[in-house]
Amino acid sequence: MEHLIIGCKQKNPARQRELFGLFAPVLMTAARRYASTHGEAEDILQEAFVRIFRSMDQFDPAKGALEAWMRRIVVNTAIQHWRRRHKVFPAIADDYLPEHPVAPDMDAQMDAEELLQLIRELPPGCRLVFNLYAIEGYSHAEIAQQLGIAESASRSQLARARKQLQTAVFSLQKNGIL
Amino acid sequence: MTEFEKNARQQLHRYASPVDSGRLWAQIEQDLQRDKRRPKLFWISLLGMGLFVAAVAAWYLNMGNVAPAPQPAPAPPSRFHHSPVATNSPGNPGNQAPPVSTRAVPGERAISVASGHPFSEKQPGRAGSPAGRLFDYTAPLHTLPVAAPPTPQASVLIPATDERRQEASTMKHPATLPALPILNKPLPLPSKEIFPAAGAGKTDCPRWRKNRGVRLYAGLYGGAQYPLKTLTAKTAEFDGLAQRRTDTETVLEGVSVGGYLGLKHWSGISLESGLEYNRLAERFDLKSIRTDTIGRIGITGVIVNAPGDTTFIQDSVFVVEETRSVKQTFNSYRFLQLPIALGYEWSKSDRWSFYVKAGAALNLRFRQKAEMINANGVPEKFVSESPRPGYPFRSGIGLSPFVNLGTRYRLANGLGVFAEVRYMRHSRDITTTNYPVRQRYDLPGVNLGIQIHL
Repeated sequence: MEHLIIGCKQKNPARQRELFGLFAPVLMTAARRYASTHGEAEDILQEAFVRIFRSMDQFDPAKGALEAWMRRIVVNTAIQHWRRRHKVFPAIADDYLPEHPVAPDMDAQMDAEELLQLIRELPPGCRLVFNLYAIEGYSHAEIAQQLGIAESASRSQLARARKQLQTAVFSLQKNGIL
Repeated sequence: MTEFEKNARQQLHRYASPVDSGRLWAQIEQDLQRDKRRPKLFWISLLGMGLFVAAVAAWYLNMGNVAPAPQPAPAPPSRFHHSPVATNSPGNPGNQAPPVSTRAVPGERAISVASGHPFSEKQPGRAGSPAGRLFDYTAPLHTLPVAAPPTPQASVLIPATDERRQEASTMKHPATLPALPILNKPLPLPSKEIFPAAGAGKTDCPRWRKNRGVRLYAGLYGGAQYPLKTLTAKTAEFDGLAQRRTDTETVLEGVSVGGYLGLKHWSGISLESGLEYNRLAERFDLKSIRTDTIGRIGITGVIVNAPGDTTFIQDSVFVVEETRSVKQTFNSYRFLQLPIALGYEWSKSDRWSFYVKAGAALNLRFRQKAEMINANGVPEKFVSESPRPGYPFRSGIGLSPFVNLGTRYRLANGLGVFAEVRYMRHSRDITTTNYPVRQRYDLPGVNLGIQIHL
């Protein structure tokens, strides 16, 4: 891995290509979590890799793993992509969403593609907050700062996302898909 | 974080999605190649700015070395303002009568002078002159020193002063004075260079007129255009594609910056050439509406059995959720142009002038970057540096005729600012021959700039 990092810092095209081939599939999953369509996910991934190669000089192996650093760039790129498309953060309507008990091992029966599909079906604002909180591990304060919203808005978006996921999983279970 | 979320996180962090590596890497590589080329444009711009600063400095230093215009030589006393010599006048201390010969000298002609002329006064008592007769020019009598011809900057007529009159009255006996040839020859006319012909350019400074040749000048300008875009299908089969592109692409603005060198003839005709960078900006908007039907458990009925005993009926309800999204991308088309123009300028006043220029620009297309609807009806990104069969863009060369109408204001000698309107037409499509839709631009716009004479 060190030779890859050094080669990318030296702008070696072959090393850059190798790094791309190695990490593109995993980072594509991250891009797909934030995008509404496959094309949009490819745009995010392309833009993210260009930033990665441009800022490779700033990566310090002592401060963390390369994959985590690259994943953060993908997330930041996705957030900027989202900001360009959505000028106003959507408000949450106070509608009734009953709580559904989800079987403890329900998620284990779902593979990654199904999870991605469920996440993609979330409304854009809920999807973004859910990804940042549940998958990336940001706090509500950090999410609020990143997106320029109030913490309460972040919490309500997450609550809505969770309820909607519950409902979707329950529906799949009821229909015998899971 | 719930268990569901923890497990989702673990699964999704490990999962490798399918990726079209080849196509994605090609686009990433183009973006990285662009970064390498960008510094070249920076150095070219820096060189251009350096040349401009050097030209301004050279002009400023040259202005300091210009020799002051030669002072007009003091005009000699006009012979027409001398007082007539009178024998009995107080100003004639000698009170001597000028010798007058009544005999006509062969070869000389007699000229009668109207009364009121200084030389028409009667000279009673003059020796040899009958009383009451006009001064006889036929005799070689008074010869005053011939005044030197006026210098080009001097005016011909000098107003008479008391000093000159007194000087004239104390002049010596005409016999000692040289001959007066003035009336035998026409007076020298003033130089044409002093009084330019009517209608000549009043902005011509003496130095410029002195050359009466061509002058070298340079200028810098910046401008904005409103691109008029034309999208037409080459065959009827692709009318739908042209229409979809028209619906999804919006022209924003065009900007240009350039410099030029030119040669200007004193008659006002000029020939100039230069270099211009031009960028057209557009926006691609694709609105999509996604409708999701989400099943929920909702209360569909209420049965009141008795006061305090209510039964709620739950059932699946389907909620239709509509998500509207807008895909927005900014497209840009870049050109390097080498214009060559022939122009004519005429002056309205010492400061203002108007001009017209017409010519053609060699138009080099490069770095066309756009996202647009492709033939399959889906948005696709295209960059001109990676052409493939059926690709819409490729770097190339075309010719663009243009015409400019402008006005110039002279700030100082050799330095002026100008504003002009320009109409330019791309004579060739910016899309490739194999692409089924023609894309062409007309560019009306305005330019502002400065010009200096070198």
